[in-house]
Amino acid sequence: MKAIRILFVMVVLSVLMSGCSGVQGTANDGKEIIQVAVSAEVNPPFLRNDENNEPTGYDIEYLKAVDERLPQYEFKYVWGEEESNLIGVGAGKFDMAINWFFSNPEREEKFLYPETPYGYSMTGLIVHKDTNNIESLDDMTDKELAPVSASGGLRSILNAYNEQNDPPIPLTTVDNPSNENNLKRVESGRSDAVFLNITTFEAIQKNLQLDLKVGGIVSKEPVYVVFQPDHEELAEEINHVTEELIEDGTLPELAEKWFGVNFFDDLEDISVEGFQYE
Amino acid sequence: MAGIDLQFALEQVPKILQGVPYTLLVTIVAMIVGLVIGTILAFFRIYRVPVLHQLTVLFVSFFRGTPLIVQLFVFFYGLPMLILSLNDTFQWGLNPDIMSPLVIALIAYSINSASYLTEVVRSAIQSVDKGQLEAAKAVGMTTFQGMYRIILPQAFVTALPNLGNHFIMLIKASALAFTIGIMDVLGISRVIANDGYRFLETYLVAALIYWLLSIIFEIILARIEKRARTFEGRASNTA
Amino acid sequence: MTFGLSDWINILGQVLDRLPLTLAMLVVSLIFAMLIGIVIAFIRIEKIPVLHQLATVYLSFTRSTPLIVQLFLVYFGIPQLLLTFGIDINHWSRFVFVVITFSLHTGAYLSEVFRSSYLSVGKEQLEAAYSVGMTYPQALRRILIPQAFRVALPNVGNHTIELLKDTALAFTIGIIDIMGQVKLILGNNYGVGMFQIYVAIAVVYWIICILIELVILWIERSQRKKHAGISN
Repeated sequence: MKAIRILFVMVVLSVLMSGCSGVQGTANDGKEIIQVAVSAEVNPPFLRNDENNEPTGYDIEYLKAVDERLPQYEFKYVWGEEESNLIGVGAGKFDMAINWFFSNPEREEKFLYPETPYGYSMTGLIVHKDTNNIESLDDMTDKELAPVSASGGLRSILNAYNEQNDPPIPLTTVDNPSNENNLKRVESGRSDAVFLNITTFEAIQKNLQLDLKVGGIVSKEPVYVVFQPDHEELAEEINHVTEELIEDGTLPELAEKWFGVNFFDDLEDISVEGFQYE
Repeated sequence: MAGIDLQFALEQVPKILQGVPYTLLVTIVAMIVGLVIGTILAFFRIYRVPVLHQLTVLFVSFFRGTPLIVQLFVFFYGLPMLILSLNDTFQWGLNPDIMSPLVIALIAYSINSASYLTEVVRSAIQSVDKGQLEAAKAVGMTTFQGMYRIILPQAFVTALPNLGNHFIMLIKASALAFTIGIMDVLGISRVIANDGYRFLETYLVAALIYWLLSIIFEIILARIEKRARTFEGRASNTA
Repeated sequence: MTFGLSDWINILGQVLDRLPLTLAMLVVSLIFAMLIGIVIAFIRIEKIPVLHQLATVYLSFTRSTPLIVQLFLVYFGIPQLLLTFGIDINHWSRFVFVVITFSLHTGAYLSEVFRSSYLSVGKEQLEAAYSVGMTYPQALRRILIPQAFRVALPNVGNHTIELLKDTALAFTIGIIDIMGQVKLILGNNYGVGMFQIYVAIAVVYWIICILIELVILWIERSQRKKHAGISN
């Protein structure tokens, strides 16, 4: 009896979630409204909120530039936490989601990724000023990495590394780890390194002036918008505009504005350009 | 079409089930420790014990009135900070990471649970007619005997549905323990979900596991409740 | 990281700006939850066929699955379901979806509170009421409800406070309440000052909670005066 009840609910839930198609409204001026889910776990300079709690940052300025060149659409921005946004894109509530999403094969199976990334995120290992033996993830297998979140792109990189390498990096999981707390752990020697986005570290460092440095850049991860799987036309159009925006210098300019570095250049060039950390 | 990948969901079941012992450990420890502390505190309130009464009110108010997640963070980040500052002040060499996240979670959940159960126990005891205690004294029982033999068994029956509610709330609340690194049912689910953005599938598996756990405990509680009501006249058998 | 006084005033100002939204979610959801709770409790006490079984499944599901899953089902699932019947509710405000979720969730708990307090009064009192010639509605209004109300009150208080804290989940679907504002501030800060800011938000929740407790206490006192002879 109980088992039947559970089965019944499971079937109902599946039907609820799978019987879905794109929900597209139309604005008064005939433009098609595109619902863009914006991640509430803000991560400046990619994304932050302004005084009126409207989203702003590199992500939003990129989308506004895209919207300008696609007059048939009107983008509407909706806040929501990342997990909820992804469920919403999968269920057809939103047309696309933005939050510096990294790509991996499992994710590409579930969502539609455009070909061209709209930016890059540089990940690195942050170590104590006096530490000189940590430059890459290989150096971390016998060291202590500060706690990492269970979800998000950084975690995916670590999971991928641990699947391909033996010995793996020992991981401690905490939900929404406090970056400040993690960095102070390294400064006081309770952990050996923090795996973090370089831009995030830079911004915190401006505030805190800790005795830390970047031990090594681990990767330059392309970041994408993700689409509802049957929105191939929309994805194609946006992909095309993104390529244009990179070629005509709009996006590199935005990158300079928000990050102080054009991350569309090669990693070596970036390092030469003074992105060296001491 | 982004439907539900049932096969993927099924494959994850064994992995997610590994979180059940942690979920149960946190729930049961919090229930037992919470009930013991809660009962003591309920008496402080009922008898208006000076100082302790006021402290209990403050304690219950704070732990009921602030989100559990905040309490977990306060314990998790606060305890090492406290030890570090003690080290600074007294030149001690205590290890700030001395308490494992599991221990911190058990402490936090027990205290949080106690604050709720204080009210449950208090309201149940007060629902029993006070005349009964007087009657107990009239036949020569002490207050303690009257409480133990007459009032508490009846209060227990009244409190049972609420204790059941609370226990099931604890099962779900234990999912927050993940925020400080306990790999319980929801914790494992989220780690699995992240690689393929398959939050829905893993959440559904987690939800069904929680539901199943609750059903099992509801059956047990219903048995206890039925027994307690059948023996209402001699309720001390079940207390 | 230490914050100066002006930083704190700024942070607190931003957070308190969102307070009306949190309170609106709380009050509206609570009213609907009580109505649901009374109806379900009635169905369960009277053991009305079919409805009784449905209510049991509803209670079981609502009480034993994480609230977040329920929120997703209401926010993403119900619009999809209705769309297959040609009804489009996707443009409804997100506020409506959270209120539906919270009302259904808290209503399930309140129905158990109401049921257990009704049962705690004891059948013999009803019989006594009948013996002095009261009708059932009279007995309900004069004898049962006043007593059940007093037993239920502390638990209704519990669940009101629980609901207050649950409203923090609304941020998951992008409603910026007080907790949401805190998370946005922390995000913009890269998590700097997390501990201090969480302590501060705890105090904000605590103050709201104390106000709720005072209201409950006030009702409890005024009730006790009316029934001074029974248990005090």
